Amino acid sequence: MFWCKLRRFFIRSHIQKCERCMSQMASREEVKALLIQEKDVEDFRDLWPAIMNGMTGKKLEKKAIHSTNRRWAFAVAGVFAIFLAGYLLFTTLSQNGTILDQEGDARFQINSIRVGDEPATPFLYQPKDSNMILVWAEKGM
Amino acid sequence: MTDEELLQNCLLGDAEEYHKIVKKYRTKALAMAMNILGNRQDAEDASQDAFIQVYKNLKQFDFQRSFPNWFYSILYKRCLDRVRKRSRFTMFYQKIKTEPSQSYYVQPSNPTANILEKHEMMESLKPKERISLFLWAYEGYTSEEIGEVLKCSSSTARVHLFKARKKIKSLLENENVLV
Repeated sequence: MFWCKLRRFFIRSHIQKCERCMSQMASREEVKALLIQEKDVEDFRDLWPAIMNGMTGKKLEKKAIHSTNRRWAFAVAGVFAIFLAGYLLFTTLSQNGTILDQEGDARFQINSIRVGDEPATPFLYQPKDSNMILVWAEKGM
Repeated sequence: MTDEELLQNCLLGDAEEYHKIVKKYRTKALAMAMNILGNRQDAEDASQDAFIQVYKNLKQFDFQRSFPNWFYSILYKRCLDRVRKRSRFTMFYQKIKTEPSQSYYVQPSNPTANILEKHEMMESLKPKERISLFLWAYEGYTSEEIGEVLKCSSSTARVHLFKARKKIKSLLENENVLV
């Protein structure tokens, strides 16, 4: 720790005195000429009215109302999306798909199926023009 | 009245006293935000947010500390928020190049210098280096004070400043070579 501090001190002293090192760094005047200064921003808008509103919390109220509206919008959009997905699924199943005849198609033969230790009825469903097979079981039939 | 007296009055509920603080630091805040963000709209918004945050957190202010340092520290964080959110540093020049008539233009302090050239140089620096340069060159801050604003040690602040000055020097030399 002590050596680190000592090392830093020597480096700092060197940089501050060494002309070669100093010449590699921009001077205060050079930097100042590149900076945007106070006189450059005098014509910027008056911040006080908005700050005043922020201090009294008007802006926060507005924000809160805005976020409530957004939450409602998301909820409505979510419900709509669920209904749309349900409708599309229903129409797809009812129009394009076919319930496979379990006995007619040897590839999907199911001898018995049990749900909760009770016999259940299996169903196989294959959508039209698709290799996907859906299998479900309904108990108590 | 000193800053501390004005702030004490603000704490007692005199909002008008805070107006005096805003008037005093408005241009400093805007200049610093402009140097970090390079965009007028963002600089105004960041300064506004910083002033509001300062007012709301006045009770937490340690009156033993320097008010400008505390204020600059908050403003710097608000500027960083803007940088992260919009990453406008890269968009800034694109906008100037594609929409010159709509872009913001600051009158340069030196009539021969061009603000765009100024920004091109500052563009290559990191936000920490920009603020270090601003505080050092414009406000006359030491590395200890810069460290207080940046919430880092004085030696780290010195490194930021050293790198920034070196980069600027090298860019200035390159420019001279090209000219």
